[in-house]
Amino acid sequence: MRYTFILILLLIISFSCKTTLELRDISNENISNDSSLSWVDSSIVALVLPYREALEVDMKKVLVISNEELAKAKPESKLTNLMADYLLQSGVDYCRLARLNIVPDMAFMNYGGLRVALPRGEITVGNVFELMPFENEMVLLKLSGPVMQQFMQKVAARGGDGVAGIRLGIKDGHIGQLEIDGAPFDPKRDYWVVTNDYIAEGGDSMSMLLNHKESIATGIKLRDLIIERFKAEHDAGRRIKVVLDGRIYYE
Amino acid sequence: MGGFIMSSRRKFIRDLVGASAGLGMLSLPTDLLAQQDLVSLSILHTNDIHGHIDSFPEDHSIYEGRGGLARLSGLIQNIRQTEKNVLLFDAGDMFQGTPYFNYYKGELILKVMSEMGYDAGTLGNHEFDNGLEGIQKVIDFANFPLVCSNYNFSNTRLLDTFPDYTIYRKSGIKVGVYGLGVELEGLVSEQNYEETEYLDPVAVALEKESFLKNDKKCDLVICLSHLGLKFKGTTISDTLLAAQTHHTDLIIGGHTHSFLDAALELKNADGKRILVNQAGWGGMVLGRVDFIFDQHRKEEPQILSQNIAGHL
Repeated sequence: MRYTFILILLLIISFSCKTTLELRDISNENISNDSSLSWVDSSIVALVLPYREALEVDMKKVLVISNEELAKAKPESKLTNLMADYLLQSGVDYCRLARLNIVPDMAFMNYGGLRVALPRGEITVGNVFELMPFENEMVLLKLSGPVMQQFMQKVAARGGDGVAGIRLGIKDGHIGQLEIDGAPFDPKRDYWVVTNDYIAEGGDSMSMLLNHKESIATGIKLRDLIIERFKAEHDAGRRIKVVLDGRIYYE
Repeated sequence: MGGFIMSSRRKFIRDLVGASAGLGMLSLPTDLLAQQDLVSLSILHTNDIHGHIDSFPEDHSIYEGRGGLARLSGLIQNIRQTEKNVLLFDAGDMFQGTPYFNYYKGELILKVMSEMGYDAGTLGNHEFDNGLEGIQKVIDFANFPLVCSNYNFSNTRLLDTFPDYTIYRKSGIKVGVYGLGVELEGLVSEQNYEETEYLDPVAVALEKESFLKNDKKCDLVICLSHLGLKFKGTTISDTLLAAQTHHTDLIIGGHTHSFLDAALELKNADGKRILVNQAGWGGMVLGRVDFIFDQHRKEEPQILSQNIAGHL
Protein backbone atom coordinates (compact mmCIF):
# COMPACT_ATOMS: atom_id res chain seq x y z
CA MET A 1 0.00 0.00 0.00
CA ARG A 2 2.72 2.38 0.99
CA TYR A 3 4.81 1.38 -2.03
CA THR A 4 1.83 1.97 -4.29
CA PHE A 5 1.56 5.45 -2.89
CA ILE A 6 5.23 6.12 -3.54
CA LEU A 7 4.89 4.70 -7.03
CA ILE A 8 1.98 7.01 -7.79
CA LEU A 9 3.92 9.90 -6.35
CA LEU A 10 6.89 9.04 -8.57
CA LEU A 11 4.65 8.90 -11.60
CA ILE A 12 3.22 12.27 -10.79
CA ILE A 13 6.67 13.75 -10.30
CA SER A 14 8.08 12.29 -13.49
CA PHE A 15 5.00 13.41 -15.40
CA SER A 16 5.34 16.87 -14.06
CA CYS A 17 9.06 16.85 -14.96
CA LYS A 18 8.25 16.28 -18.58
CA THR A 19 5.60 18.87 -18.87
CA THR A 20 7.02 21.73 -16.88
CA LEU A 21 10.79 21.53 -17.12
CA GLU A 22 12.10 25.01 -17.43
CA LEU A 23 15.72 25.95 -17.98
CA ARG A 24 16.65 28.17 -15.09
CA ASP A 25 20.35 28.56 -15.44
CA ILE A 26 23.60 27.42 -16.91
CA SER A 27 27.02 27.28 -15.37
CA ASN A 28 30.23 26.58 -17.20
CA GLU A 29 33.78 25.72 -16.30
CA ASN A 30 36.55 24.65 -18.65
CA ILE A 31 38.74 22.52 -16.42
CA SER A 32 42.45 22.26 -17.17
CA ASN A 33 43.79 18.69 -17.15
CA ASP A 34 47.28 19.35 -15.82
CA SER A 35 49.75 18.02 -13.24
CA SER A 36 47.79 19.62 -10.41
CA LEU A 37 45.22 16.82 -10.79
CA SER A 38 46.09 13.47 -9.28
CA TRP A 39 43.15 11.38 -10.39
CA VAL A 40 44.66 8.97 -12.90
CA ASP A 41 42.08 6.29 -13.65
CA SER A 42 43.81 2.98 -12.86
CA SER A 43 41.35 1.00 -15.00
CA ILE A 44 42.40 3.04 -18.05
CA VAL A 45 46.08 2.58 -17.19
CA ALA A 46 45.50 -1.18 -16.88
CA LEU A 47 43.61 -1.29 -20.17
CA VAL A 48 46.39 0.53 -22.00
CA LEU A 49 49.35 -1.28 -20.41
CA PRO A 50 49.63 -4.32 -22.72
CA TYR A 51 49.24 -2.10 -25.79
CA ARG A 52 51.86 0.30 -24.49
CA GLU A 53 54.34 -2.47 -23.73
CA ALA A 54 53.96 -4.09 -27.15
CA LEU A 55 54.33 -0.72 -28.80
CA GLU A 56 57.40 0.22 -26.79
CA VAL A 57 59.12 -3.02 -27.74
CA ASP A 58 58.46 -2.26 -31.38
CA MET A 59 59.40 1.40 -31.13
CA LYS A 60 62.78 0.50 -29.67
CA LYS A 61 63.69 -1.70 -32.62
CA VAL A 62 66.86 -0.40 -34.27
CA LEU A 63 66.55 0.10 -38.03
CA VAL A 64 69.99 1.36 -38.93
CA ILE A 65 73.04 3.13 -37.53
CA SER A 66 73.73 6.71 -38.54
CA ASN A 67 77.22 8.16 -38.50
CA GLU A 68 75.84 11.59 -37.73
CA GLU A 69 72.82 13.48 -36.52
CA LEU A 70 70.50 14.40 -39.39
CA ALA A 71 68.81 17.75 -38.94
CA LYS A 72 66.89 19.99 -41.30
CA ALA A 73 68.06 23.38 -42.52
CA LYS A 74 67.67 25.64 -45.55
CA PRO A 75 68.49 25.86 -48.39
CA GLU A 76 69.41 22.16 -48.11
CA SER A 77 70.28 19.80 -45.29
CA LYS A 78 71.28 16.22 -44.67
CA LEU A 79 67.80 15.35 -43.41
CA THR A 80 65.78 16.99 -46.18
CA ASN A 81 68.11 15.67 -48.89
CA LEU A 82 68.06 12.09 -47.59
CA MET A 83 64.29 11.99 -47.18
CA ALA A 84 63.74 13.43 -50.66
CA ASP A 85 66.26 10.96 -52.11
CA TYR A 86 64.42 8.05 -50.50
CA LEU A 87 61.13 9.39 -51.79
CA LEU A 88 62.49 9.66 -55.33
CA GLN A 89 63.98 6.15 -55.22
CA SER A 90 60.72 4.77 -53.90
CA GLY A 91 58.78 6.57 -56.63
CA VAL A 92 61.09 5.17 -59.31
CA ASP A 93 60.80 1.67 -57.82
CA TYR A 94 57.03 1.94 -57.62
CA CYS A 95 56.72 2.90 -61.29
CA ARG A 96 59.01 0.07 -62.33
CA LEU A 97 57.17 -2.54 -60.24
CA ALA A 98 53.76 -1.27 -61.39
CA ARG A 99 55.02 -1.20 -65.00
CA LEU A 100 53.83 2.35 -65.41
CA ASN A 101 56.35 3.38 -68.05
CA ILE A 102 57.08 6.49 -66.01
CA VAL A 103 60.43 7.58 -64.64
CA PRO A 104 59.89 10.28 -62.02
CA ASP A 105 62.13 13.32 -62.54
CA MET A 106 62.20 14.74 -59.05
CA ALA A 107 60.88 14.39 -55.52
CA PHE A 108 59.59 16.97 -53.08
CA MET A 109 59.51 16.34 -49.32
CA ASN A 110 58.05 19.32 -47.55
CA TYR A 111 60.34 20.88 -44.96
CA GLY A 112 57.50 21.33 -42.44
CA GLY A 113 56.54 17.67 -42.68
CA LEU A 114 59.79 16.56 -41.04
CA ARG A 115 59.04 17.09 -37.37
CA VAL A 116 62.31 16.25 -35.58
CA ALA A 117 66.00 15.52 -36.26
CA LEU A 118 67.22 11.92 -36.48
CA PRO A 119 69.92 11.06 -33.92
CA ARG A 120 73.51 9.99 -34.43
CA GLY A 121 73.88 6.28 -33.68
CA GLU A 122 70.86 3.99 -33.56
CA ILE A 123 67.82 5.12 -35.50
CA THR A 124 64.75 3.34 -34.13
CA VAL A 125 61.21 2.82 -35.39
CA GLY A 126 60.17 5.34 -32.72
CA ASN A 127 62.51 7.96 -34.21
CA VAL A 128 60.84 7.59 -37.60
CA PHE A 129 57.39 7.91 -36.02
CA GLU A 130 58.51 11.13 -34.35
CA LEU A 131 59.95 12.32 -37.65
CA MET A 132 56.69 11.59 -39.53
CA PRO A 133 53.75 11.31 -37.14
CA PHE A 134 51.13 11.67 -39.86
CA GLU A 135 49.72 9.14 -42.27
CA ASN A 136 50.84 10.81 -45.49
CA GLU A 137 51.09 8.65 -48.58
CA MET A 138 53.28 8.80 -51.65
CA VAL A 139 51.68 10.40 -54.70
CA LEU A 140 52.99 10.85 -58.25
CA LEU A 141 52.06 14.01 -60.14
CA LYS A 142 52.54 14.90 -63.78
CA LEU A 143 53.11 18.63 -64.11
CA SER A 144 53.30 20.84 -67.19
CA GLY A 145 56.42 23.01 -67.58
CA PRO A 146 54.69 26.23 -66.45
CA VAL A 147 53.21 24.57 -63.32
CA MET A 148 56.62 23.05 -62.56
CA GLN A 149 58.05 26.55 -62.80
CA GLN A 150 55.49 27.94 -60.34
CA PHE A 151 56.24 25.04 -58.03
CA MET A 152 60.00 25.69 -58.13
CA GLN A 153 59.41 29.42 -57.71
CA LYS A 154 57.65 28.65 -54.43
CA VAL A 155 60.61 26.55 -53.28
CA ALA A 156 62.96 29.41 -54.22
CA ALA A 157 60.81 32.00 -52.45
CA ARG A 158 60.97 29.92 -49.28
CA GLY A 159 64.75 29.70 -49.46
CA GLY A 160 64.85 25.94 -49.95
CA ASP A 161 63.02 22.73 -49.17
CA GLY A 162 63.39 18.95 -49.36
CA VAL A 163 64.13 18.07 -52.99
CA ALA A 164 65.79 15.35 -55.01
CA GLY A 165 66.55 15.12 -58.73
CA ILE A 166 67.07 18.86 -59.24
CA ARG A 167 69.70 21.55 -58.86
CA LEU A 168 68.22 24.91 -58.00
CA GLY A 169 70.07 28.19 -57.62
CA ILE A 170 68.10 30.80 -55.70
CA LYS A 171 68.67 34.44 -56.57
CA ASP A 172 66.91 36.98 -54.33
CA GLY A 173 64.05 34.61 -53.67
CA HIS A 174 63.63 33.70 -57.34
CA ILE A 175 64.69 30.82 -59.58
CA GLY A 176 68.23 31.32 -60.88
CA GLN A 177 69.82 28.25 -62.45
CA LEU A 178 67.49 25.26 -62.58
CA GLU A 179 68.35 21.76 -63.73
CA ILE A 180 65.95 18.86 -63.53
CA ASP A 181 67.10 15.30 -63.95
CA GLY A 182 70.48 16.52 -65.18
CA ALA A 183 69.17 18.79 -67.94
CA PRO A 184 68.26 22.51 -67.95
CA PHE A 185 64.64 23.16 -67.08
CA ASP A 186 62.47 23.05 -70.19
CA PRO A 187 59.13 24.86 -69.83
CA LYS A 188 57.80 23.04 -72.90
CA ARG A 189 57.95 19.53 -71.44
CA ASP A 190 56.08 17.74 -68.66
CA TYR A 191 57.68 16.50 -65.45
CA TRP A 192 56.78 13.67 -63.07
CA VAL A 193 57.10 14.60 -59.40
CA VAL A 194 57.04 12.28 -56.38
CA THR A 195 55.56 13.86 -53.26
CA ASN A 196 52.94 13.15 -50.60
CA ASP A 197 49.17 13.43 -50.70
CA TYR A 198 49.12 16.52 -48.48
CA ILE A 199 51.32 18.46 -50.90
CA ALA A 200 49.63 16.96 -53.98
CA GLU A 201 46.32 18.34 -52.75
CA GLY A 202 47.74 21.83 -52.54
CA GLY A 203 48.74 21.80 -48.88
CA ASP A 204 51.58 23.95 -47.55
CA SER A 205 50.55 26.72 -50.00
CA MET A 206 51.33 24.53 -53.01
CA SER A 207 47.96 25.19 -54.61
CA MET A 208 49.55 25.26 -58.09
CA LEU A 209 49.86 21.47 -57.79
CA LEU A 210 46.08 21.19 -58.08
CA ASN A 211 46.68 22.03 -61.76
CA HIS A 212 48.47 18.74 -62.36
CA LYS A 213 47.96 16.81 -65.58
CA GLU A 214 47.83 13.40 -63.92
CA SER A 215 47.91 12.07 -60.40
CA ILE A 216 48.70 8.57 -59.16
CA ALA A 217 47.94 7.62 -55.55
CA THR A 218 50.24 4.81 -54.45
CA GLY A 219 48.66 4.10 -51.07
CA ILE A 220 52.17 3.70 -49.62
CA LYS A 221 52.76 5.56 -46.37
CA LEU A 222 55.84 7.76 -46.39
CA ARG A 223 56.81 6.54 -42.95
CA ASP A 224 56.69 2.92 -44.12
CA LEU A 225 58.86 3.56 -47.11
CA ILE A 226 61.45 5.40 -44.98
CA ILE A 227 61.49 2.49 -42.53
CA GLU A 228 61.98 0.06 -45.43
CA ARG A 229 64.85 2.15 -46.87
CA PHE A 230 66.61 2.26 -43.50
CA LYS A 231 66.21 -1.49 -43.07
CA ALA A 232 67.57 -2.08 -46.57
CA GLU A 233 70.63 0.07 -45.81
CA HIS A 234 71.26 -1.89 -42.64
CA ASP A 235 70.76 -5.24 -44.36
CA ALA A 236 73.28 -4.18 -47.01
CA GLY A 237 75.80 -3.57 -44.22
CA ARG A 238 75.75 0.20 -44.65
CA ARG A 239 75.46 3.05 -42.19
CA ILE A 240 73.69 6.31 -42.86
CA LYS A 241 76.09 8.94 -44.11
CA VAL A 242 74.93 11.97 -46.06
CA VAL A 243 77.11 14.35 -48.05
CA LEU A 244 75.60 17.70 -48.92
CA ASP A 245 75.73 18.09 -52.68
CA GLY A 246 74.58 21.67 -53.18
CA ARG A 247 71.29 20.69 -54.85
CA ILE A 248 69.81 23.97 -53.62
CA TYR A 249 72.13 26.94 -53.24
CA TYR A 250 72.03 30.71 -53.07
CA GLU A 251 73.49 32.35 -56.15
CA MET B 1 13.66 10.33 -5.71
CA GLY B 2 12.77 12.66 -2.89
CA GLY B 3 16.16 11.97 -1.38
CA PHE B 4 17.79 12.83 -4.64
CA ILE B 5 16.06 16.16 -4.79
CA MET B 6 17.06 16.95 -1.24
CA SER B 7 20.71 16.15 -1.76
CA SER B 8 20.72 17.84 -5.11
CA ARG B 9 19.57 21.14 -3.72
CA ARG B 10 22.71 21.63 -1.70
CA LYS B 11 24.79 20.83 -4.71
CA PHE B 12 22.94 23.34 -6.87
CA ILE B 13 23.68 26.13 -4.51
CA ARG B 14 27.33 25.26 -4.66
CA ASP B 15 27.22 25.00 -8.44
CA LEU B 16 25.42 28.26 -8.80
CA VAL B 17 28.11 29.98 -6.78
CA GLY B 18 30.79 28.31 -8.88
CA ALA B 19 29.05 29.41 -12.03
CA SER B 20 30.05 33.01 -11.54
CA ALA B 21 33.50 32.19 -12.92
CA GLY B 22 32.09 31.19 -16.27
CA LEU B 23 28.89 32.99 -16.99
CA GLY B 24 28.70 35.98 -14.75
CA MET B 25 27.35 36.35 -11.27
CA LEU B 26 24.08 34.61 -10.74
CA SER B 27 21.38 36.37 -8.85
CA LEU B 28 18.62 33.90 -8.25
CA PRO B 29 16.34 35.00 -5.45
CA THR B 30 16.98 32.89 -2.36
CA ASP B 31 13.34 31.82 -2.16
CA LEU B 32 13.73 30.07 -5.52
CA LEU B 33 16.83 28.23 -4.36
CA ALA B 34 14.93 27.14 -1.30
CA GLN B 35 12.45 25.30 -3.47
CA GLN B 36 13.12 21.61 -3.86
CA ASP B 37 12.42 21.45 -7.54
CA LEU B 38 15.71 22.16 -9.24
CA VAL B 39 17.44 19.42 -11.19
CA SER B 40 20.80 19.77 -12.88
CA LEU B 41 22.50 18.05 -15.79
CA SER B 42 26.27 18.19 -16.27
CA ILE B 43 27.45 18.06 -19.85
CA LEU B 44 31.14 17.11 -19.99
CA HIS B 45 32.98 17.26 -23.26
CA THR B 46 36.27 16.84 -25.13
CA ASN B 47 37.44 17.27 -28.70
CA ASP B 48 40.49 16.55 -30.84
CA ILE B 49 41.89 13.97 -28.44
CA HIS B 50 44.22 12.80 -31.25
CA GLY B 51 45.20 9.59 -29.50
CA HIS B 52 46.46 11.32 -26.36
CA ILE B 53 45.80 8.68 -23.74
CA ASP B 54 48.97 9.57 -21.84
CA SER B 55 49.73 13.05 -20.58
CA PHE B 56 52.44 15.06 -22.28
CA PRO B 57 55.80 14.48 -20.56
CA GLU B 58 56.67 16.80 -17.70
CA ASP B 59 59.64 18.08 -19.69
CA HIS B 60 57.57 18.90 -22.79
CA SER B 61 58.54 22.34 -24.00
CA ILE B 62 54.98 23.59 -24.57
CA TYR B 63 52.42 21.28 -22.92
CA GLU B 64 54.40 20.11 -19.90
CA GLY B 65 52.50 17.42 -18.03
CA ARG B 66 49.14 18.38 -19.56
CA GLY B 67 46.39 16.37 -21.23
CA GLY B 68 45.80 12.66 -21.65
CA LEU B 69 42.69 10.56 -21.16
CA ALA B 70 44.00 8.43 -18.27
CA ARG B 71 43.99 11.41 -15.94
CA LEU B 72 40.98 13.05 -17.60
CA SER B 73 39.03 9.89 -16.83
CA GLY B 74 39.96 10.29 -13.17
CA LEU B 75 38.62 13.84 -13.25
CA ILE B 76 35.39 12.66 -14.87
CA GLN B 77 34.95 9.90 -12.29
CA ASN B 78 35.38 12.51 -9.61
CA ILE B 79 32.57 14.58 -11.11
CA ARG B 80 30.37 11.50 -11.52
CA GLN B 81 30.69 10.86 -7.78
CA THR B 82 29.03 14.16 -6.96
CA GLU B 83 26.68 14.61 -9.93
CA LYS B 84 23.78 12.30 -10.58
CA ASN B 85 23.13 13.45 -14.12
CA VAL B 86 26.18 13.45 -16.35
CA LEU B 87 26.53 13.15 -20.11
CA LEU B 88 29.98 12.83 -21.70
CA PHE B 89 30.51 13.83 -25.33
CA ASP B 90 33.34 14.20 -27.82
CA ALA B 91 33.42 16.40 -30.90
CA GLY B 92 35.72 14.39 -33.15
CA ASP B 93 39.34 13.79 -34.17
CA MET B 94 39.84 11.04 -31.64
CA PHE B 95 42.24 9.44 -34.14
CA GLN B 96 45.76 10.36 -35.22
CA GLY B 97 48.55 12.01 -33.30
CA THR B 98 50.31 9.37 -31.23
CA PRO B 99 51.87 5.97 -32.09
CA TYR B 100 48.85 4.40 -30.36
CA PHE B 101 46.90 5.30 -33.48
CA ASN B 102 49.63 4.40 -35.94
CA TYR B 103 49.86 0.95 -34.36
CA TYR B 104 46.35 0.18 -33.22
CA LYS B 105 44.34 2.13 -35.81
CA GLY B 106 41.72 3.51 -33.48
CA GLU B 107 41.08 0.29 -31.59
CA LEU B 108 42.77 1.44 -28.40
CA ILE B 109 41.40 4.98 -28.30
CA LEU B 110 37.84 3.69 -28.84
CA LYS B 111 38.29 1.08 -26.11
CA VAL B 112 39.57 3.72 -23.72
CA MET B 113 36.72 6.11 -24.52
CA SER B 114 34.22 3.28 -24.09
CA GLU B 115 35.70 2.47 -20.70
CA MET B 116 35.41 6.13 -19.76
CA GLY B 117 31.69 6.00 -20.44
CA TYR B 118 31.33 8.39 -23.36
CA ASP B 119 27.67 8.80 -24.31
CA ALA B 120 28.39 9.94 -27.87
CA GLY B 121 31.03 11.29 -30.21
CA THR B 122 31.03 12.56 -33.76
CA LEU B 123 33.28 12.17 -36.80
CA GLY B 124 36.26 14.48 -37.24
CA ASN B 125 38.26 14.63 -40.46
CA HIS B 126 41.08 12.55 -38.95
CA GLU B 127 38.69 9.68 -38.34
CA PHE B 128 39.04 9.18 -42.12
CA ASP B 129 42.85 8.86 -42.04
CA ASN B 130 42.77 5.14 -42.75
CA GLY B 131 39.83 5.47 -45.11
CA LEU B 132 36.25 4.24 -44.71
CA GLU B 133 37.61 0.73 -44.36
CA GLY B 134 39.79 1.94 -41.50
CA ILE B 135 36.69 3.24 -39.70
CA GLN B 136 34.73 0.09 -40.43
CA LYS B 137 37.48 -2.13 -38.99
CA VAL B 138 37.54 -0.41 -35.58
CA ILE B 139 34.07 1.05 -35.09
CA ASP B 140 32.84 -1.95 -33.10
CA PHE B 141 35.39 -1.14 -30.39
CA ALA B 142 33.23 1.87 -29.51
CA ASN B 143 30.33 1.08 -27.23
CA PHE B 144 28.98 4.61 -27.78
CA PRO B 145 27.42 6.05 -30.96
CA LEU B 146 29.17 8.47 -33.28
CA VAL B 147 26.37 10.86 -34.13
CA CYS B 148 26.65 12.18 -37.64
CA SER B 149 23.88 14.16 -39.33
CA ASN B 150 25.48 15.76 -42.39
CA TYR B 151 27.51 13.00 -44.02
CA ASN B 152 25.51 10.74 -46.29
CA PHE B 153 27.15 7.32 -46.33
CA SER B 154 24.42 5.67 -48.45
CA ASN B 155 26.78 4.77 -51.27
CA THR B 156 29.54 3.53 -49.00
CA ARG B 157 30.42 0.59 -46.80
CA LEU B 158 29.50 2.72 -43.76
CA LEU B 159 25.81 2.81 -44.64
CA ASP B 160 23.70 2.64 -41.45
CA THR B 161 26.76 2.86 -39.20
CA PHE B 162 26.15 6.25 -37.61
CA PRO B 163 22.89 7.58 -36.13
CA ASP B 164 21.88 11.06 -37.29
CA TYR B 165 20.59 11.93 -33.83
CA THR B 166 20.44 10.43 -30.35
CA ILE B 167 18.20 11.14 -27.38
CA TYR B 168 19.06 10.74 -23.70
CA ARG B 169 16.87 10.93 -20.60
CA LYS B 170 18.36 11.98 -17.30
CA SER B 171 16.04 12.44 -14.30
CA GLY B 172 13.24 13.52 -16.58
CA ILE B 173 15.43 15.82 -18.70
CA LYS B 174 15.23 14.86 -22.35
CA VAL B 175 18.37 15.69 -24.31
CA GLY B 176 18.59 15.54 -28.11
CA VAL B 177 21.96 15.40 -29.84
CA TYR B 178 22.91 15.84 -33.48
CA GLY B 179 26.37 15.85 -35.06
CA LEU B 180 28.02 17.94 -37.78
CA GLY B 181 31.19 17.10 -39.69
CA VAL B 182 33.47 19.42 -41.60
CA GLU B 183 33.64 19.48 -45.42
CA LEU B 184 35.93 16.62 -46.39
CA GLU B 185 36.94 17.80 -49.86
CA GLY B 186 40.36 19.44 -49.68
CA LEU B 187 40.90 18.22 -46.13
CA VAL B 188 40.82 14.46 -46.57
CA SER B 189 42.15 12.44 -49.50
CA GLU B 190 39.25 11.57 -51.77
CA GLN B 191 40.24 7.90 -51.71
CA ASN B 192 39.71 8.03 -47.93
CA TYR B 193 36.11 9.27 -48.03
CA GLU B 194 35.07 7.76 -51.38
CA GLU B 195 31.42 8.54 -52.07
CA THR B 196 30.60 10.07 -48.71
CA GLU B 197 28.32 13.00 -49.43
CA TYR B 198 28.77 16.19 -47.43
CA LEU B 199 25.46 17.92 -46.70
CA ASP B 200 25.13 21.61 -45.86
CA PRO B 201 25.62 21.75 -42.08
CA VAL B 202 23.32 24.74 -41.59
CA ALA B 203 20.38 23.16 -43.39
CA VAL B 204 20.93 19.90 -41.54
CA ALA B 205 21.26 21.66 -38.19
CA LEU B 206 17.98 23.56 -38.68
CA GLU B 207 16.18 20.38 -39.62
CA LYS B 208 17.60 18.31 -36.75
CA GLU B 209 17.13 20.91 -34.03
CA SER B 210 13.52 21.46 -35.05
CA PHE B 211 12.90 17.72 -35.14
CA LEU B 212 14.48 17.19 -31.71
CA LYS B 213 12.76 20.19 -30.12
CA ASN B 214 9.32 20.16 -31.74
CA ASP B 215 8.73 16.53 -32.70
CA LYS B 216 10.70 14.75 -29.99
CA LYS B 217 9.99 17.41 -27.34
CA CYS B 218 13.57 17.51 -26.05
CA ASP B 219 14.30 19.87 -23.19
CA LEU B 220 17.83 20.43 -24.41
CA VAL B 221 19.30 20.28 -27.89
CA ILE B 222 23.05 19.81 -28.25
CA CYS B 223 25.15 19.88 -31.39
CA LEU B 224 28.44 17.96 -31.57
CA SER B 225 30.36 19.83 -34.23
CA HIS B 226 33.66 19.32 -35.95
CA LEU B 227 33.21 22.43 -38.10
CA GLY B 228 35.66 24.62 -36.17
CA LEU B 229 35.07 27.58 -33.87
CA LYS B 230 35.59 30.49 -36.21
CA PHE B 231 37.32 31.32 -39.48
CA LYS B 232 38.16 34.38 -41.48
CA GLY B 233 35.62 34.91 -44.20
CA THR B 234 32.41 33.01 -44.69
CA THR B 235 33.50 29.40 -44.12
CA ILE B 236 30.86 27.83 -41.92
CA SER B 237 31.89 27.54 -38.28
CA ASP B 238 30.28 27.05 -34.90
CA THR B 239 29.95 30.80 -34.36
CA LEU B 240 28.34 31.37 -37.77
CA LEU B 241 26.09 28.34 -37.28
CA ALA B 242 25.00 29.45 -33.82
CA ALA B 243 23.59 32.71 -35.16
CA GLN B 244 21.34 30.82 -37.59
CA THR B 245 19.84 28.29 -35.19
CA HIS B 246 16.53 28.45 -33.28
CA HIS B 247 16.48 25.54 -30.86
CA THR B 248 20.07 24.48 -30.20
CA ASP B 249 21.18 25.24 -26.65
CA LEU B 250 24.83 24.25 -26.86
CA ILE B 251 27.33 23.63 -29.63
CA ILE B 252 30.22 21.44 -28.49
CA GLY B 253 32.92 22.17 -31.01
CA GLY B 254 36.26 20.88 -32.22
CA HIS B 255 38.67 20.95 -35.17
CA THR B 256 40.30 24.34 -34.42
CA HIS B 257 41.90 23.13 -31.16
CA SER B 258 40.55 26.23 -29.44
CA PHE B 259 41.26 26.85 -25.78
CA LEU B 260 38.46 28.98 -24.32
CA ASP B 261 38.49 30.45 -20.82
CA ALA B 262 34.72 30.11 -20.89
CA ALA B 263 32.01 29.03 -23.30
CA LEU B 264 31.01 31.74 -25.76
CA GLU B 265 27.54 33.15 -25.17
CA LEU B 266 26.05 34.03 -28.52
CA LYS B 267 22.63 34.99 -29.85
CA ASN B 268 20.70 32.63 -32.06
CA ALA B 269 18.40 33.60 -34.94
CA ASP B 270 15.70 34.58 -32.44
CA GLY B 271 18.06 36.62 -30.29
CA LYS B 272 18.11 33.94 -27.62
CA ARG B 273 21.18 32.67 -25.84
CA ILE B 274 23.19 29.81 -27.34
CA LEU B 275 26.47 28.55 -25.92
CA VAL B 276 29.46 27.51 -28.01
CA ASN B 277 32.30 25.74 -26.26
CA GLN B 278 35.50 23.94 -27.15
CA ALA B 279 38.09 22.15 -24.99
CA GLY B 280 41.52 22.65 -26.57
CA TRP B 281 42.87 19.29 -27.75
CA GLY B 282 44.74 16.22 -26.52
CA GLY B 283 42.50 15.95 -23.46
CA MET B 284 44.11 19.09 -22.05
CA VAL B 285 40.75 20.55 -21.08
CA LEU B 286 37.46 19.09 -19.91
CA GLY B 287 34.59 21.30 -20.94
CA ARG B 288 31.78 21.37 -18.41
CA VAL B 289 28.40 22.99 -18.88
CA ASP B 290 25.74 22.47 -16.24
CA PHE B 291 22.11 23.08 -17.12
CA ILE B 292 19.83 23.70 -14.18
CA PHE B 293 16.15 23.06 -14.70
CA ASP B 294 13.15 23.94 -12.61
CA GLN B 295 10.63 21.10 -12.54
CA HIS B 296 7.96 23.10 -10.76
CA ARG B 297 4.89 24.34 -12.62
CA LYS B 298 5.12 28.09 -12.88
CA GLU B 299 2.20 30.51 -12.99
CA GLU B 300 3.90 32.92 -15.29
CA PRO B 301 6.75 31.12 -17.04
CA GLN B 302 7.32 33.86 -19.58
CA ILE B 303 8.08 36.44 -16.94
CA LEU B 304 10.49 34.04 -15.34
CA SER B 305 12.30 33.34 -18.56
CA GLN B 306 12.69 37.08 -19.16
CA ASN B 307 14.33 37.26 -15.79
CA ILE B 308 16.89 34.67 -16.75
CA ALA B 309 17.70 36.33 -20.03
CA GLY B 310 18.30 39.54 -18.11
CA HIS B 311 21.13 38.32 -15.98
CA LEU B 312 22.89 35.97 -18.33
